[in-house]
Parts: sequence; structure tokens; C-alpha cells
Amino acid sequence: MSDYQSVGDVLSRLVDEGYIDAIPENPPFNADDDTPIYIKALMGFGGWIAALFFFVFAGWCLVLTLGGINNQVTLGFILCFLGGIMALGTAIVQQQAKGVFVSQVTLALHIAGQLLLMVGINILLYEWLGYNSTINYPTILFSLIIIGIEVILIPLYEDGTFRFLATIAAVIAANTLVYTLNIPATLSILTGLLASGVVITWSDVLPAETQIRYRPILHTVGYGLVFGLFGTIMHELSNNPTVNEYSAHFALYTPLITSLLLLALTLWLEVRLLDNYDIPFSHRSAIVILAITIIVTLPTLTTPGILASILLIVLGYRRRHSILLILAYVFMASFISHYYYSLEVTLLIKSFILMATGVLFLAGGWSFRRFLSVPETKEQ
Amino acid sequence: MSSGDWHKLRATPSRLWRFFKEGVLPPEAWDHSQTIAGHVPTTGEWLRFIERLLLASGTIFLIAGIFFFFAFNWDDLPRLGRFATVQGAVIIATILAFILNIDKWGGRLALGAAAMLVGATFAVVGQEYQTGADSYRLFMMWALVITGWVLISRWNIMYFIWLILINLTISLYWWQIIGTNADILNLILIVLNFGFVMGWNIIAGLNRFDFMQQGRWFLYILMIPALMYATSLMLDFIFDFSYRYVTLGAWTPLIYIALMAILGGMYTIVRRDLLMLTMASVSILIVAISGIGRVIYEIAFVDMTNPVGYFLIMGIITIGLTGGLVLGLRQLQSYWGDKQ
Repeated sequence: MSDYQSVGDVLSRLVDEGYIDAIPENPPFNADDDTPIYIKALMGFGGWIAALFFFVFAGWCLVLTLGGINNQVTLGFILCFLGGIMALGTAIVQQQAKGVFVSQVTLALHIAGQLLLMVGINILLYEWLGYNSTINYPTILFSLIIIGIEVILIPLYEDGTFRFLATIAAVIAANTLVYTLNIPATLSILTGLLASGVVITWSDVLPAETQIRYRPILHTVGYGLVFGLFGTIMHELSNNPTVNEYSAHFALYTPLITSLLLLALTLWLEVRLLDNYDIPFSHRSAIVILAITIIVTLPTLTTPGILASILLIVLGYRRRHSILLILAYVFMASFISHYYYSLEVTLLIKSFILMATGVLFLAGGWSFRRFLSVPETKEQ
Repeated sequence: MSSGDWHKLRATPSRLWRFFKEGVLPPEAWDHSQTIAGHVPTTGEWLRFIERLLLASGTIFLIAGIFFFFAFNWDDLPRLGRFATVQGAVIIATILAFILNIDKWGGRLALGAAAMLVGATFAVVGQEYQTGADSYRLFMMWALVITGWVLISRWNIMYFIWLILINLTISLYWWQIIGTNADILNLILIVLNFGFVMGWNIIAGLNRFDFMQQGRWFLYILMIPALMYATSLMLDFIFDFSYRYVTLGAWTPLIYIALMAILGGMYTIVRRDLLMLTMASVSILIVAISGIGRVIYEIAFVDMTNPVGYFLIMGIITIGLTGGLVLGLRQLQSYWGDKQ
């Protein structure tokens, strides 16, 4: 990692290079607001315990009030109304909420509101559409509505924790939708879309103005997409479609389709990075880096999580983002374990494959810098 | 750091973004500012990163392959061969540790590996001879044998592993030999972990060992179970979990108060540590909410079939308690800031 750079150092460089005329007198952030994160965590912890008591209080009141209603449609409407009021009300209140404690209590109430809304919608959908064993319309519609609600609320509700949870909720709804539709190829498409979302949020493909304007959203949604991506890959690896022989046949190949989509995305990202560093596509280093990606991918096509981890490592290191890198390593270790576990060969052959891979990597690492040179970045 | 020193603050992505968001810096400078601040690696750093990644992955794959190889052939190896394999690995790792120098990362990792392999050796002994001994003996012997290495390692992770082994030994001994009285076990584990952390702080204040001053993360990790055990003792006392053989009785709150007082004194007078105090505050918050909740329930709501108002009151009390603790910590932080 590079040396520590202060705000003053960076601003001085930008003044020298003519981006600004002078260093501003006051910073655009509160330099005195140095409340440590663990004290904020204590506030959040207390906020959630208080919210739990309020949940039980509100829930008990609700049960006492609605206990006599037997008509499911009426009950669904009341829950939707109450949930909607709570969700919208807290979305408005939180924009004025100052401090971690109040924002966490508001968030807890907002989530409670969303849950009431979801229960209400679910009751209404099943009452109106009924259950159909061939195509489960209520679940399909319900998933689409959840995705819609979360997508609308993510920009409106200005809270990082909420945006992360909302992204996860939307991804779970998307997985439920795909599972209900029972068309395996859609799982590959969903994984591809999520991986593209991860690249968009964590790389610099968006224009600078957009990155600046939407940074708080991109940052938190980005985390949600990372977890969503790996969760979806796990879903894919354990998915067993049951509709007919045709789907089951294609289900065998969905990880391959996913891996190919991820490979295309990873190669595209690497080419873009090489371009950013002014390394020509024909340069020996560029060819070696692209070749390593393909060589690692080909034998592991059945486990797309390995390639997704490589994609995340590239993004994490590009951003020097330790959390992304740690997540990538953990996911990679898990998917490599899954890959070797699922190989249908004896333990002896597995041990030879592992040792050969190890020797190959060690040789690659040893020779990497000795035989490769790239034009050093001029900055810094 | 006062607000006038904001120039010296680290140029984190979040702080730089504020300048762009407020229009102090133009969007054209966005990419360049990231590079200047060091948020984007140079080409040379990329190469080093890929090289290290390949080397680290290669080492892990190779070791995993060797383990798999022995696992596959384990049944075919003679008893002597099995002992030679694990003990040979211990000897090689130990020699490597001293060749690579235990003050450097290579040597430390080798010594750590040797310490772990000692455990594997005892496991093989247990597997080969099937003496029927309780498993606490394995952890006890493991902890005893590596004690010397721990003391000379000057590496916090070794102390951490050692403490985990001692915790395991005591817990297993308790459940395998004594099998009752969870409160006494909790108390012993509190004394062990709490005492170790306090002892470390005192000894660190009396010498100049760098490793005792730096890398204090493991003290926080050890304090977490100590506080959890202490909180658990108090919850046993408050909710009267008699099925867990509560024996400390009225001593429990006294012990808890004494622990909190020692912790408070250590981290406000001897050494300033707001994180430790915050961790203790979490425990105090849980104990206070539980205690007050029990008292109010017993006094006002015990005979009510629908104690709706109880939850509203408890919610409000929780807000008050959290606010009070946070206010106290913030004031302490502010006081320390002014004194520095």
C-alpha cells in the first residue's frame, strides 16, 4: 500500500496542477466529528433493542385491534395501509433524523412497516389470484412488487444500512422469482446482471459526475450486490429444476453459461484497466494477465464463484478496498473448496491436482516480476 | 486533533468525496485526486500484488495437496511412518522458524505452524493408542508443550492461540470431569481472560517490548468472552436460571460490579482506552435493561395477561440508558481530547 497522504497534501498537488486556485479555508466536512465507530455501534445497538420493545408493543396493539377481523381481504388492506404509512412516514422522518441512535430506531420502524406491507400484499395476492400449482402467479407478482418497492426506496431512504438490506431483499426476491419461474438460464442471466452491477458500482466505468453525485448509493448498494452475487451463485450451484426434462438438461449447463458471462466481464474489466494504465493490448504483460485469467477459468467453469472472486479481487485491489478483498478471499476459499469437493476423482488424484496447481502458482509468482516489466505509473 | 488541523487528516475516499460533492473541487480532478491520494495502485504495485497473490495461493494449494496426499495414504502408512510424518513436520517447521528468524514474518509463520502441528501430533497419538483419555488432556498437553515457544515468540498471535487452548482445556475439563455448576466455570474463565488482559496491560506499562505495546487487537478479542461470561453470570442472577446450578447467589452482582470497577479504573486511570470502556458499556446496557425489566415486570405487570404498556416503558428506558452511556463516553473522549 502506498504512503499515507493527508488532505492538505492532495489539495496542494491539485493547486500546483491548476485544478483549483487555492486550498479552501474550511473543510466541507466536520473535522471535529470524531465519534469513534464503536460508540456509534453502541448507539445502534441500543437503538435496535429499543426498537424491538416498540415492535412487540406495536405488534401486541395490532393483534388486539385486528384480532376480530375474519375477512382476509380487509385484513390485507389494513396491513398494507399501516405498513405503507409506517414505511413512507419513516422514509420522510429519517431525512431529518440526526444521529445514529434516532436513525437506527427509524430504520427498525421502517423495516417493521415494510414487513407489514409485504404480509398485507401477500394476503391480498393469494386471495385474489389463488394458488396455481403450474404457475405460481402470486409469488411471481409478489417478487416483482418487492423488487419494485426496494428499487424505489433505495434512492429515497438515505441510510446506508437500509440500502444494503434493501439490495439484499431485492436480490432474494429476484432469486425467488427465478426459482418460481423454474427456467434455469434465467439464473445465469441474473448472475450476469448482478456481476455487471458489482463492476458498475465498484469500478470507475461511470462518468466522474455520476460517481460523485451517487457515491453514497453506489457504495452501499455495491456491498449488497457483492453478497447478492455470491448468494445467487450458491443458489445456482444447489439449484435442481424440476419442471421437465428439457429444463433439467439445461440446468446442468447453467454454471457454464454463468462462468462464460463472468469470464467476458472479467476480461473486459482487465482490458479496460490495462488501457487506463496505458499498457498496450499487445504488451507481454497484458497477454500474460489475460492468459492467466483464461487458464484459471477453463478447468473451473463448473464453479463460477471462483471467477466471480477473481473479478472481486481485481475490483478490490483497484480500489485498495480491504473489505472487498477480504470478502473476495473468503468467497474464493469457499468456492475452491466446493470445486475440489465436487470433483469426481479419488483423493489421491485431488492431492496431485492441488500440488500441481500449487507448484504452477509458485512458479508463476516467482517468475512474474522477474520476466515481466510494465511502464511504471507516472503518478505519485 | 483540533478542527484547525484538518489539513493533516488522512485523505480518505470519503473526505475527498466531500470536496467534490460541495463543489470545492471540479469533477475533472476526480480520477486524478484518487491517484494522488494513493487510492489507486500503480502498475508496479499491481505486479507485486499479483506476484504475492500467486505465491500465497501456490503455498496454500501445495500444503493442501500434501495434506490430501497423506490423508489418502494414511491407512497404508505404518504407525512409525505416521508419527514420523507429523513429528517430522514439527521439526522442519521449528528449524525453519529459527533459520528464517522469529522476529520476521517468515519465522513467525513457521513457529505458528510448528505450534499447530504439535496439536496434530497429539491427535495422532490419541488416534493410534485409543487410550480413552478425555479430550481436555490433549489441549492441556498442547498448551503446556508450546508454552516455551509462546514466551520467546514475541508475537501476539501465539499468545492468543495459547489462551484459546487454555480456555478449551478448562471448559472441557469442567464438562468432562466436573459436569456441573456453570457459574463457577464462567467465573474461572472470566478470571483467566480478564486477568490476562489486565496483566498484559500492567506488564506492558513496565517494559519496552514493542510487541506488548502494539497489536492490541487480541486483547479486545479476549475481553469479549470475559465480558460475555460476566454478562451471562448477571443474567443468570437476574432471571434466576436455577437449572444452570446458580451457586454464586448474592455474590454475583458484587463480582460484576468489582469487574466493571477494575476495568473502568484500568482504562481511565492506568491506560486510556475508549474501546474497552465501550465494550464494558454494552455489557452494562444489557445487564441494566434486564435488571430494570425484571424489577418492573415483577412490581407492575406480573399479574397482567396483556402487558402491552410494559414494552413501551422498556423501549423508553432503553433509549434513556443508551443515551446516558453514550453521553458519558463522549464526555470522557472530549475530556481526554482537551487534556492532550
